[in-house]
Amino acid sequence: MQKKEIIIGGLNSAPGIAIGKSFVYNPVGIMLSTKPVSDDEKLGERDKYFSAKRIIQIEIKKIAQLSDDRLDDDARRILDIGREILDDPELEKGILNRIDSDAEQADRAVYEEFQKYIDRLNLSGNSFFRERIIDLRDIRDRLVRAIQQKSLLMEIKDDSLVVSKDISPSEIIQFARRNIKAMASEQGGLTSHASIIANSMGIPFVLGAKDLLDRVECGDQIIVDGNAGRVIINPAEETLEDYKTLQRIEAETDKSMREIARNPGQTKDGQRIVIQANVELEAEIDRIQKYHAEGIGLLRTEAYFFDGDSDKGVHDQEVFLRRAAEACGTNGLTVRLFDVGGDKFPDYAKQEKNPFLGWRGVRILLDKREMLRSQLRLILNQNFYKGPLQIMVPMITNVEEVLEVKDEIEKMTAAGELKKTDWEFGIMIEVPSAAILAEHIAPHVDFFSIGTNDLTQYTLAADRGNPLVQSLYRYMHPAVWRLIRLSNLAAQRSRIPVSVCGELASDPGAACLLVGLGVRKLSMAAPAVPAVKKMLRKFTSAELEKYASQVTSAKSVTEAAVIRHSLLDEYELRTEDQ
Amino acid sequence: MIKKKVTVTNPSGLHARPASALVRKASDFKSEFHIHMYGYRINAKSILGVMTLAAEFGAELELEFDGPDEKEAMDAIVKLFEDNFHESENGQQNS
Repeated sequence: MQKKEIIIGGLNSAPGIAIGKSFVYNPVGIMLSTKPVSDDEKLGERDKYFSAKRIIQIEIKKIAQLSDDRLDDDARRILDIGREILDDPELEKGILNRIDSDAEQADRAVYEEFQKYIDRLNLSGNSFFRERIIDLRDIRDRLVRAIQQKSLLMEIKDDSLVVSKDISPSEIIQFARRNIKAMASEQGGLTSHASIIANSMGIPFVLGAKDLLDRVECGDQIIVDGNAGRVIINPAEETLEDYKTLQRIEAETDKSMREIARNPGQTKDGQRIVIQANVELEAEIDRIQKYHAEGIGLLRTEAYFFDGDSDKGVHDQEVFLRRAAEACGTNGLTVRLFDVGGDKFPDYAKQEKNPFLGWRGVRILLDKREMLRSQLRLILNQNFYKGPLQIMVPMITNVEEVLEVKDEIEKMTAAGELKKTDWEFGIMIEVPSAAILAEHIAPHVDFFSIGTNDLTQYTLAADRGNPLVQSLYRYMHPAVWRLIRLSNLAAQRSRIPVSVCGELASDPGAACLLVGLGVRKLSMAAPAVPAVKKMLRKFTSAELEKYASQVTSAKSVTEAAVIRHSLLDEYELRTEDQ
Repeated sequence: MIKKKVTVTNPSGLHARPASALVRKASDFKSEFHIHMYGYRINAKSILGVMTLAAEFGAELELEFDGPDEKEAMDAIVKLFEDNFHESENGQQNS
C-alpha cells in the first residue's frame, strides 16, 4: 500500500530541490580511549591534540570566510566564542596536564577537561552561560572526533538525502564528501554556520523541520525542497510529478553554466587561460571535478601540518597530497610549503605583537630547516603524481631567501634524498618588496604565483579582518594592480609563467582584468570557476588588455573601481544580446 | 603585583560580549591577570574561567595584575569596567 504523504515545513537554509531515498543520520555516542599512555607516547598524544585543534580552528576560519557579511551578530558571536574557547589558556593547560600527569589519551583528556567546565556552567544560575554549553559540547565533540579520526559517516550512501536531529558544520563538510543530495534537520546548535557551508557546497538544506525523525524512516522516498523550506515524506504521484518538473526547469537554467564550466578556460579570441582551484581542506578536493577546475593552483598544507617527524602528521599530509594528486589527474598541482606563523609552535611561547609582520612563512621554514626538509622529502618521494607538480615558497621578501631555499634543495638532491626530479620551483609574490624586485627574483625560479590577499593587505597596510580599516582594504587600489603588472612583466622577461591565486581571481571582473595584464593562470575557490570561465569567453584578450591598462593607470581607487564596473556593464550587455 | 576592587555595573553582568571583551583586552598585555570573587580565583585570560565566574550586576571583584605592564593592564581593564563594557554600543570588535 502507498504510504501517506506527509509535508513538514521548515526554514529554507540552502536552495535547490532533491528527490530520493532518505538516510536517517544518528551519530553514535563518543567512545573514549581507556588505556593510559606511556611516557614515550605522551608527546604523540599532545601532537594529536594540537593538530585536532588546528583543524577546528581552520574550520572556524573557513566558516567566517565563507560567510563574510551573511552572518548576523549572534552567529558571529558564537563563532568568536568558539575561537576564544580554543584559545583558552586554562583549558589547554588542563588538557595537556591530563596527558602529562594523568597519562590520559588525547581524546579522553579533551573530553574530561571540557566536561569539567560544562558541569560548572550547568551549576551556574545564569541562563546565557548555560546556553553556551551547546557550543562547548560541539567544539568538544569536533575535537574528539578529529583526534580519533573517526569517520562517523561510513554508512552514508552517496546520493542519499540525509535527515537528522542536529547538524554541525564539521558534519556537513563530511556529508558533502559523500556526495549527499540534500539535508534536513530538526534543529541545530550552530545552524547558521551549517547553512553557510551548505550554501557554499551547493547542497539543498531545510532546517527546523519539526518531529522529522518521528515521521521518516531510513529508505523512505522524500523530497527536500530547499527553495520553499519543505520536506515531503512519501510524496504522492502528483506531488512527485510537480517536483520533477520543477527540478527539470532548475537543471536547464543551470545547464548552460555547467556546460561552459566543462570547457577549458579561454577568452573570446581563443587565448587559453588555465582556471584552477584553491584547496585547503580534504573535504574541498571533491569540488575540483564538480566545478571543472583544471587542477589545483594553490594547495595549502597547513591544515595537515606536522613539525619534525610526528607520524600522524606525516600520514595526514600524505593522504591529503595523494587525494589532491588523484583529483588533479593529468592537470597541474601546485603545492605551497607550510605557511605557518609562530602560533603553530607550542614551545614558541613569546606572543608576537604583530604576527603578520612576524615569524611566518619562509622565515620559519629557513629557521627550522628540518621542517622544510621533512616536508620536501614527503612531497618529493611520492609516485602518485600524474600531472605536472609545482612547489612554491610563501612570504618571500628578497632574493637571498630564494637562494637559501634553493641551496637546501640542491643539497638534498645531491644527497639523493629527493626521488622526484621533474617538478618546478616557484615562489609566492605576496609582499610588495618581492613584486618590486621581481625582475631579480625571476631568473632564479620556474614560476611566480601572486597571492593577492596578502599583497593587498601589505601594500595598503590594512588588516582585512579589522572592521575599523576594512574600507581601506580595497583590492581595486591601483597600487596593488601596478605591483601585479610589475611582477608579470618581470616574469615575461624571464619567460616564466605567472598565476594569481588570491581571492581577487574569484571575482569574474577582476579575473578578466588579470588576464588583461597578461596572467594566463588563475586559481580560486572552486565554486567561482564557472562564473569566471563564462565571463572570460565574452571578451578578447585585446579588449581586456585595454581595460587592464586603464586600471593600472587609474589615479584613485574610485577610478579603478569604475573601470571594473564598466567592464561588468559591458558583460551584462553582451550576455543579454544572446 | 597590584590589586584593585571593582564592581560590575553594567546591567547584564559579565556576559558574552563583556566576557569576550575582557579576555581579549587582558590578552593584549604580558602581565598575568586574575580575578578574585567570593573566594574563587580565576585566570582572566581564560574565557571559560570568566564564564564560569558568572559575575552578575553588582558583583564585587578584586582584580590582580602581576607582570611588566601591570599598571597599563590595570588601567585598561578598570576603564572597561567603568565604561560598562560599552554595553549601549553594538559595534563588534575584531578578534
